[in-house]
Amino acid sequence: MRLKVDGLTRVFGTLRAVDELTFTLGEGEVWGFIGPNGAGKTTTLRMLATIDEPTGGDAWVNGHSVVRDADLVRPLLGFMPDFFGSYPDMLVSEYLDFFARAYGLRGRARRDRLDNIVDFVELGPLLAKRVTDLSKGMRQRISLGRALVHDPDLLLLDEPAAGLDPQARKELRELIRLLAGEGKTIFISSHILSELEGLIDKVLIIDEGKLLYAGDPQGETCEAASSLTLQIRIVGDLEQAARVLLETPSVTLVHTLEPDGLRVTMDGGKPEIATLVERLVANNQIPYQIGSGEKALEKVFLEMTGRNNHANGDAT
Amino acid sequence: MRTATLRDRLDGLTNPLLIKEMYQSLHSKKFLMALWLMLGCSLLTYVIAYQGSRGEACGEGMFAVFMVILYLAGVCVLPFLAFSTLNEEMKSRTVELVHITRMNARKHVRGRWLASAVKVTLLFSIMGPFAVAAFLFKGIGVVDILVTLALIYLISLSMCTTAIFFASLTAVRELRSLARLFFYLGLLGMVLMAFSTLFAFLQAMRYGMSSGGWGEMLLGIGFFALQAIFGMWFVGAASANILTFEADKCSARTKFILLLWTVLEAACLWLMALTVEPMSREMAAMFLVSASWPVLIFGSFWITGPNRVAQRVRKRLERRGPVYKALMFPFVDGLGSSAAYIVVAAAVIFVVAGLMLLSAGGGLGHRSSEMSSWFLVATVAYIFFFSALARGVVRLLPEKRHTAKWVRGMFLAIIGLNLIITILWMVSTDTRITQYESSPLIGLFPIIHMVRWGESLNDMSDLPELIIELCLPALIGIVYHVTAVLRHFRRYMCGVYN
Repeated sequence: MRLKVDGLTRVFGTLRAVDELTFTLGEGEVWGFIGPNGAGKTTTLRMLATIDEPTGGDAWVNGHSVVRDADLVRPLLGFMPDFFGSYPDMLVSEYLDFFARAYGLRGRARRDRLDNIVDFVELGPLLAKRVTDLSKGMRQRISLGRALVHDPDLLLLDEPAAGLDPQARKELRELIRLLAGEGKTIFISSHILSELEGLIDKVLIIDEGKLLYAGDPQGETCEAASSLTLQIRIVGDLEQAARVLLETPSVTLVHTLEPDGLRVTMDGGKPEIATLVERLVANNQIPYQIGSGEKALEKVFLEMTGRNNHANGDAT
Repeated sequence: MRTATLRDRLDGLTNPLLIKEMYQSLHSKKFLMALWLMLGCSLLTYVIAYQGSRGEACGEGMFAVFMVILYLAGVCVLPFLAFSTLNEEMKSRTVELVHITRMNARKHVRGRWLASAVKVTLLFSIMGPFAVAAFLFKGIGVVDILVTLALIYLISLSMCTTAIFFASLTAVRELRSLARLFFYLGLLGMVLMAFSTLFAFLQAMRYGMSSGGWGEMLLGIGFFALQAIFGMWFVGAASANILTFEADKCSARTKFILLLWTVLEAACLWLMALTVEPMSREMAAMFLVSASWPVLIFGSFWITGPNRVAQRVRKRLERRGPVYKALMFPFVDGLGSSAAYIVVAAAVIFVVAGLMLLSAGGGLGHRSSEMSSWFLVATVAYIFFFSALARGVVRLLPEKRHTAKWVRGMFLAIIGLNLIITILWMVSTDTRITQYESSPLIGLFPIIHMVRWGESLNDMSDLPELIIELCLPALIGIVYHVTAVLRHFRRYMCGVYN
C-alpha cells in the first residue's frame, strides 16, 4: 500500500471542507479523484502534500504520517498543484535546477536527473526562456517536470489538464500513461470527467467533503450506480429485438431509436451484457454496434453526487 | 577528479534559495538598476567633490554623502526588494512549492537571509573604492570609516531580516494588510532618518575622539552588534515559524540562544548594579530596548505557533473530558505548545524584563515601588493579551473573524505605544532631549516629536495612561478568552471535534 488515508478531516470555522475521508491507494495504481467545484478535492490534496494540516485523521505515504513525519513524506511525493508558481526573472533551466537543489540533488546526480526530466517532458527548446513568458501548456509541462524532479513514488496531480488545448491535453495524458507504466502511483483530481476516462484504474468521488464512492470507474462495483445504459444497433427486426431484450431479466427499459438502434437500461455489468448479446444472436437479431448510452464515469459521478439536474454546469 | 568532488561538495553546501535569488537578481532590472544608480551617484559625488575641493580636506563631507547613498541602497532598497520578493511569492503561492521540498523552515529563511547578505556585501564592495577616495581626500580617519561601514552593514542586514519577517507575516491572512502597512511605514522611517543616523554616527565618533571615551563607544557599538545578531536570529526563527509552522524543528537552538542572551544580559545587569554611579541615559535606553525584545520575540513565536504541534496536543486533548477540553482548546490553537509552556515563557519574561526595567528605572532615579507596580500590571496585561492573541491566530478559526482582527491590531498598536511611552517616560526625567536627536536608538523623527509633546504629559495624572496602556489590553484579553472558551464549548457540543 502506497497511500493510506484514514478519517482525514479539515474544518474551516464550522465548515467541514473534508469530512473523514478514508481510502487506500496501491502501488502503481492510477486513481481519479472527482467531484464538483468546492467538493474538497484541492483541500484533500494539499493535506496529502503536507502543505496544510488536517484537523483530524491522518494519511500515510509508504507508512510515514503526513502529520507527524512530513519531512519523510515530502521526498516520496511529487505534487502538481492547480497553479504554476512561477518566479519572475528566472529561466526554465534555472527554475528546474533550483527545485532539483531544493530536493537535495547534488552535483552529477542533479545534472543527470535534470537531463532525464528535460527529455521526458520535452523541455529542451524552452530551457533558455523565462518561465513567465511561457504558454499554459508549456507551464504544465514544466510543472510536471518539477513534480518529477526527485523521482517520487506518488504523484498528486491537481486539475492537471485545466485550461489546456486538446493537443496539450492529449500530450499530458500520454505522459501520465508513461509514468503509470513506470510503476508510480498517481492520484489525479479533476472535475472534467472526459479527462480521466480511460486513463484511471480506480475512481474516488467526493462531494461536500464526503467520500461517495471509491472503486471501479465503470461502476461495476458500485451498488448505488448499478443501472447501466447501452446503445445497440442491430441487423434484424427492431420490434422483435426489443421484445427479446425486455424478456431478459437484467433489462429494465428499452427504447427504440430509428432506424436500427435501441437504448437499453439494465442492471449489472459485463456478464449481463454478454448474456444479452447471446440472446439477441440466438433470436437472429445480430448486434453490429454496442456503445455506452452515457459515459460510464460521468454516469457514476452524476448518480453519486445527485446532480443530474445541473450536470452540465458542474461536471462536463 | 578532485576538482569535481570538491565542486559537488560545495554544491551540496550551497543553499538552494541563495542560488535562486542570485539567478533572479542577475536577471532583475530592479536590482541591476539600483546597483547602477548607486554607482552613478557615487561617481557624480566624487567628481563634484574633486572639482570643488581645491586642495582642501573634504573627505568627511564626501564620505557622508557616500554613506547616505549606501544607506539608502542597503537599508531601504535591499530590504524593500527582500520584502517584495517574498511577498510576491506568497501571493503567487510559490512558497508552498518550496515547502514541500526537502528544505525545512530554517534553511528557507537562512537562504533568503544569505541572499540578502550577499547583495549587501556586493553593495559594500562597490562602495569600497569610494570610501578609500574619501580617506585620501583627508578629513576622516580609517577607524571612522570602518566603524560607520560596519554599523551600516549591520543595520542593513537587520533590516533585510526584518523585511523577511514582515513578508512572511503576510502568510497569515488576518495580518496581511497590517504587516505590509507596518513594513512600509518602517521603511519610510528609515529613509527619513538616513541623515540623522549618519550624523549621529559622525557625532558619536567625534565625541569619542575628543573625550577619549572610546571604551564607552565601543561598548555601545558592541552592545548594538550583539542585539542585532541575536535579534536577527530570533526574527529569522519567527519567520521560519510562520512560513512552515514548524517551530518545533527550530526551537531547540532558539531556546539555547535565548538562554545565552538572558545570561549575558543578566551579567551586564549585575555589572551595572555594582557601579556606584547612576546609570547613564544611553545605557538605560539600551536596557529598556533589550527588555522589550524578549516580549516581542515571545510574542512573535506565540502568534505564529506551529500548527503541527497544536495538532498533536489537540489529539491528546480529544481524549479528555468536555470541560477540560473546552477550557484547554483556546490555549492550544495557534499557540503551538502546551499550556505549561505559556507559564514558563511568562515567568521568563517577567524575571528578565523585570530585572532590566527595575535596573534601568533605578538608574534614572525612579522609585522602586513605582517601577514594581507598573511592571506588575504590564506583565499581567501582556500575559492575557498574548494568550488572547495566540487564540486569535488559530487557523481553524472562528466564525467571528473581526474580533481576532481587532485584537491583533490592538496588539501591534500596544507594542508600539509601549515602546514610545517607555521612551517618553525615560526622557521625561531630563528636559535636555537634544542629545537623543542624534542617538541611533531613538532617531526616528516621529518619536522625537512625540518626546517633545510628551514633556507636557508629565503633569497629567497617571490614570489615563495606565488604563489605555495596561488595563485595556488585559480586559480585551480576558473577554476574548472567555468568548473563546464559550465558542469552543459550543463547537464541542455541536460535535465539531468528534
